[in-house]
Amino acid sequence: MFVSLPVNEGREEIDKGVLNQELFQKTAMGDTDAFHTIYICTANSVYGFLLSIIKNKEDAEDLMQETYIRVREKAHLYQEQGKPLAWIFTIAKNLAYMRLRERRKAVFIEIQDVDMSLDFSDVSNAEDRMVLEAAFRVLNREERQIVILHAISGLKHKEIGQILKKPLPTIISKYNRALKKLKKEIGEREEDYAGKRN
Amino acid sequence: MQEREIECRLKNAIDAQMPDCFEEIMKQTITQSVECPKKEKNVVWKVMPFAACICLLIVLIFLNKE
Repeated sequence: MFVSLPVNEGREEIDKGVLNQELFQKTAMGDTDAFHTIYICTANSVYGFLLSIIKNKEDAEDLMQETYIRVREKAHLYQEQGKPLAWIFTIAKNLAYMRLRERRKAVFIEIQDVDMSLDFSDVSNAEDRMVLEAAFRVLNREERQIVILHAISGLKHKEIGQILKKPLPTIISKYNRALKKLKKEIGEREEDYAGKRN
Repeated sequence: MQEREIECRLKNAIDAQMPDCFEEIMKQTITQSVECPKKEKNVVWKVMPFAACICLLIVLIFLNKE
C-alpha cells in the first residue's frame, strides 16, 4: 500500500534564524509584515499543537486566532530566552487548557474524557490521513503533543520538556512509546488492507 | 513504516488541514485596537453610593429617635 516517501525537509524550515527578537519588537511597534512572518513560520506548528490538545478542528482554529492575537498584543513582552516558538506554544497551551476547563465546567466531564469526533477527510493523501487518524486514535493527549511538537515543529526533546514542564527522560520515553504505538497501529492497518485485497 | 516517515506524514497531514486565518486575525486585532478601552471608574465613585446610604441611614435613625 505504501510507497517510500521522500524525506521532507520541512521541519527545518522554522529553525533558520528567521524568528528572532527583532521580529517581535517590530510586531510590537505595529509592523504587519513582521507579524506576518511570525505567523507564516509558526502557524502550522501552532495549529498542530492545538489540535493535539483540543481534538476539535473548529476549536483549534478559533484558539489559533486567539493565540496570534495574544502574540501581537504581548509581543513587547517577549524576551529572547530559548526559542520564540516555545513562547508562542506556551500562550497556545494556556489558552487550550483554559478552553478545556471551560468545556469541562459546561458539560461536567473530565478533561481526559473530552473526545470530539474528528473528520480528516480534507487530507487528500490516504497514507497521511491514516497516520493522522492513528495518532488521534491510539495516542493519549500528552503523547500526541510530544509527537506533534517533534514532528511538525522540529523541537528537540529538551525543548518539548520545557514547554510541557516534564523532565527529559519522561519526554523521550513517552515519545518512543508513542511511536511504537503508532507503528503497531499502522502495521495492523496495512495488514488489514493487504488481507482485504487478497 | 519508519519513524521519520511517520513524522513526515503527520506533518503533511497537519499542513493539509491548516486553515489560513491571518486575515481574520488582522481584522480582529485591528478591531480590538480601535475599540476604546473602558475607563476605570474612580474608587471614590465606587464607594460613594454606599457612603451616601450609610449617611442616610444614620440620619433616619437620628430623626426616628427624636
